[in-house]
Amino acid sequence: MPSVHLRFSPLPEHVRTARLVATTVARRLGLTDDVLEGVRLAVGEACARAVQRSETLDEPQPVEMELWDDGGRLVVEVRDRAALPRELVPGNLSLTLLEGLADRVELRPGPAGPGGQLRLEWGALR
Amino acid sequence: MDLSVTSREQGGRTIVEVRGEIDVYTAPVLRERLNDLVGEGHHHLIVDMEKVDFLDSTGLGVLVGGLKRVRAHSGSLHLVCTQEKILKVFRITGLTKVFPIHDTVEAAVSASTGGEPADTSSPADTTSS
Repeated sequence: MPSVHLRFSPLPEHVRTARLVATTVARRLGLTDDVLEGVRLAVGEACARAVQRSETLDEPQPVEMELWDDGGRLVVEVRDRAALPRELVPGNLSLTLLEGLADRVELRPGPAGPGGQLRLEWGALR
Repeated sequence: MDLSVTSREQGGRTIVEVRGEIDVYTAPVLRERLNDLVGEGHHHLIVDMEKVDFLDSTGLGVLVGGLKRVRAHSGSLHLVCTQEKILKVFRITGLTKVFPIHDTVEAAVSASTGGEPADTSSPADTTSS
């Protein structure tokens, strides 16, 4: 399935837009409602984190979200361009939520620094 | 409007009804409203989440902040929530142990008052969104 790639200015109001896009894409993959709700929440958390990290930048840099079907697994990657240490201080609640919602959560180096890419996966869809 | 917050008095408690989505963008509105209420002397709050469509960690943070604030005044903050998708957020983060959560406003008022004197501050029938 071709991926969907969304790029948006790091503003809190766009996090909802990203949630809506992710939910629409995930719904087409046949996920059940409760998993879809988890995708909505997890994507929201990941994008909110990226936006908040981006607030440290002098010049706003876009946050990117990409979603695709990887052989039956839904993969979502959210990337920011903040050059920060791996984790932002009040991140624990957010990561706790992510880990409780997605089948797999992986924090990776992003375009500008450690922890700038968050990858979420949900298991077999069919 | 993505989020609206209204409040009213019931049974000596201040019911805060929240409608819409509580996320990183809208949570500041709720934070401000809760702070205003506490500042006006309403220390026993019941936040009605039944019409909340979405709650993220920023929203949780605002509720935790509200709880800390009322406690500083020997007050209380109870929640009304029966929606599974919202309860799940509290459950995953362990916050079901922190907030008393009830099925109805009446149950929350009852639990919140439990024989304590009613809040004697002036009524707070206001709307903000």
